[in-house]
Amino acid sequence: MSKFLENLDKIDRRYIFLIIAIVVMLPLIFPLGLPVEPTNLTIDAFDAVNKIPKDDKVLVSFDYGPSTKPEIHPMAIAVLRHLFTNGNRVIITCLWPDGLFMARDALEQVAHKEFDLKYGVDYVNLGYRPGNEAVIKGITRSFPANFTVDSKGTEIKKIPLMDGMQSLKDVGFIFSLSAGYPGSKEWVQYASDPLKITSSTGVTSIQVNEILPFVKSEQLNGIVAGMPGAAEYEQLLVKNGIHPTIGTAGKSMDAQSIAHLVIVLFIIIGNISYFAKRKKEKKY
Amino acid sequence: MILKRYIPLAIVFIVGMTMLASWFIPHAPFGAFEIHATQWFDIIASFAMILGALNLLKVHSLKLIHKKLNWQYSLIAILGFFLTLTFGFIMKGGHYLVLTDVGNTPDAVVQEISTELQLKNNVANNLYITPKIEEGIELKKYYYTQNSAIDFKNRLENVGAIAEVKEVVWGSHLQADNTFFSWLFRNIFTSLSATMFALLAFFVASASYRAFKVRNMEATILLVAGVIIMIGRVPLGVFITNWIPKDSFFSFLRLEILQEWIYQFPNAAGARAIMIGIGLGIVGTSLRVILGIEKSFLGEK
Amino acid sequence: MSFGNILGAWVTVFLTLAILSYLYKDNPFYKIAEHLYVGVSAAYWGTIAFWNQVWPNLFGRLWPHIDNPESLNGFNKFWYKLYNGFHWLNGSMFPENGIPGDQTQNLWYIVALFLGLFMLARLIPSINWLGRWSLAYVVGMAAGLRIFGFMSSNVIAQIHGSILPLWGHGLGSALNNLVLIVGTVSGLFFFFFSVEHKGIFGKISRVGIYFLMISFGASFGFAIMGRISLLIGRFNKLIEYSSSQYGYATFILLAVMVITLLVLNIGKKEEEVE
Repeated sequence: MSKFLENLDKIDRRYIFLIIAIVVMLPLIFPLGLPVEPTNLTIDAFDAVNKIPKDDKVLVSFDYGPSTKPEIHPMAIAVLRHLFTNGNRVIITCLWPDGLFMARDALEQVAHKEFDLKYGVDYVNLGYRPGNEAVIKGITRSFPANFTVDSKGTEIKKIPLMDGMQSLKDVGFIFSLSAGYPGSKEWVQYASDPLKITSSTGVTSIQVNEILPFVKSEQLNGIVAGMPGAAEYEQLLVKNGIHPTIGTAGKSMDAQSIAHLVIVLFIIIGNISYFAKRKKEKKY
Repeated sequence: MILKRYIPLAIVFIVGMTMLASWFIPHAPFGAFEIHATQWFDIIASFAMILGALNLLKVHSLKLIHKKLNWQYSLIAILGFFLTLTFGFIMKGGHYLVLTDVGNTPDAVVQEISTELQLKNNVANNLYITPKIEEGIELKKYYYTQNSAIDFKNRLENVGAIAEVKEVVWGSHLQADNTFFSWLFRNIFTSLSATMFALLAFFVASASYRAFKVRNMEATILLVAGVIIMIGRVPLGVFITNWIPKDSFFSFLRLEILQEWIYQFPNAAGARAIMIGIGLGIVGTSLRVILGIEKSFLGEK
Repeated sequence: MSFGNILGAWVTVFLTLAILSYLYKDNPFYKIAEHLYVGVSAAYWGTIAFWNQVWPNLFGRLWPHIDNPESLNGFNKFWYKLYNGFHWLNGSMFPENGIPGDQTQNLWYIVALFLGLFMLARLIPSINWLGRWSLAYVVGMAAGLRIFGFMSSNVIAQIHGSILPLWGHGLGSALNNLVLIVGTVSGLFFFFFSVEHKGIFGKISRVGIYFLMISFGASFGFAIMGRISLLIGRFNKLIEYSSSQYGYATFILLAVMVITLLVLNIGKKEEEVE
């Protein structure tokens, strides 16, 4: 028995890969229906979006790409649904080049198909500009200088929603959908903090700890953390009657849960093997 | 020496100090400087991206020319490179129709458009058609090839309408519907990029099994905190400790409550300490760079 | 379902499975996909940068569209003749009489153009030192931007956020605030390396380590969460493309790849035996 325990960590890692693949795949095909409970910081983000005055323009920044789409895209869809349901007008910017495509997909699904909104009046996609935080710094001074045309090549002065928009100071709320650099941190450092604009954010799970101090010091109102956070936000939309069903994040939580459990079991088994080896070493 | 060292150091000093001053002085010339300086930064950053692309082409071309190990794969890289450039600068796609005249049988025209654009209820004043006939009605269905667009145009002309075939403008072809570039992004770039990152899930599981050993107190704390967060943040955590009543004294043992407390308090404290440390480090390094003490970006010590 | 969509699905599935095949071992499918990724992403970044910044904001400021080119005289007449060269090369990308948009001409951007070209000069060994000027500009700007941003938001605001009440808001709140204050201060003690971690300083530093370990443990948990989420996203796509609508792409390509890898593996083992 002890030899078996000692040899446990010599198992070919491909078996571990196979187990992970199975435990992630099966709940996606055969859902368990585990309930999602919203946590406090997601509720704070939801409430912050809920409180935006209807006349305020909201800037939503798509700072993620296809590599982090499963985590951030569901929350992008959920937040847009929330904003459009409340009647807010939305300005989209992208600090990542891939964000352009993510924004287009999200707007196609929500603004076009669900809400039948008018481009240029209810929402506008200004597109991507390279330069990272310099872009944010630039638009705190002047929108037209940095975004002369939108993502479709239309001049900014011809877009009704951008009428009177000189700089970021004319925006009432910033929501950053962030997967790394540049992202939420830069929006806080160069926009929200200096201009005192109310902001919130949705980030990848990996970025959560980096952004959490901003939330605790009230520089950001709440945080939607990774796919579980997106699932919680979707649940809040359902609970508040804004949308009838949960989205892709909520449906993926079963797979997420089982995978986490299996990884914890792996850690425990690995440590059992380690302690068995240590016991043997101490004995001899 | 002057050109290679002192001028760059002077540029760093002047630009850095002016940028710093513009934080505090919004008036001219600092305000205007900031607007255009950030634009210049963005432009140079764009050229840096182009440099990266060209450098990659150079590396793989040399590998191909000198027939180094696995040179065949470098050919794949170069083909992928030129395919993307072709879709970005030569082959656009994204053809669409602009209706300039509905003719004498508007119902038939509406029927034809509704079928092609798959509109609901065969209604013409749908969000896909914007009225303003004097400018032409842009029919929002895009085609990869001009021939497909011309096919639809011919069908409209058969029912008496007049339409023009147009292409999306350069710039918007990057993400418009049914352009070659957006096809490449969605099907090649996205799948490769996303799967590369998804691979890490397997390696992280394997690493957790093999390398995460409880050797001392610190590792134990790390492990316990990690496990509670991992289980507590997903629905399974709620399910496991659902039997503990929420309003009882022991409610703090419910996984979702325990993980929330760890997440918002001790974890946040550690994260804050790290953030302040990093912040001070960045401020110090930035000052050293501006003052020319730190010259590593020039390749010097 | 259009041909473009079905072809796209098959390409997506092939490339996804090719990358995942690395889990078995390094193989030609993975190498093809990896090198394709490298080539496509390099050109993708360059293309995006050109169309989103260089074309509208640089060329658009150097050669904004003019309605009546006959009115040009002096330097501008020569300047737009230069532009006509671009127009002659590609009339679609460089339309007649300038770049469309809302820019006013600003010839100071010639400096930005040159700095950009100096950046490209890094490819040529004899003049790659010119790139230092562009790099100096970028580094100087970034340093100037970051000092204020980090000092204000990452340091001062965080210190401000750590000044929390220890009474007057209930015992629970007081304890939580105490944890935050003790954790932040002791964590900062740990990062102060100018003093040896001995005695009282060492003990406070030790407490700091424990808080940092909790933070790293949480980061570890979140990292696993993030990676699993990405895998779920990929598997969702594979499940979607396994349907009859897409010609059972996932099943067919998976079978083809597995058989090919097995054949290659058997062939390699026979070679080794020989």
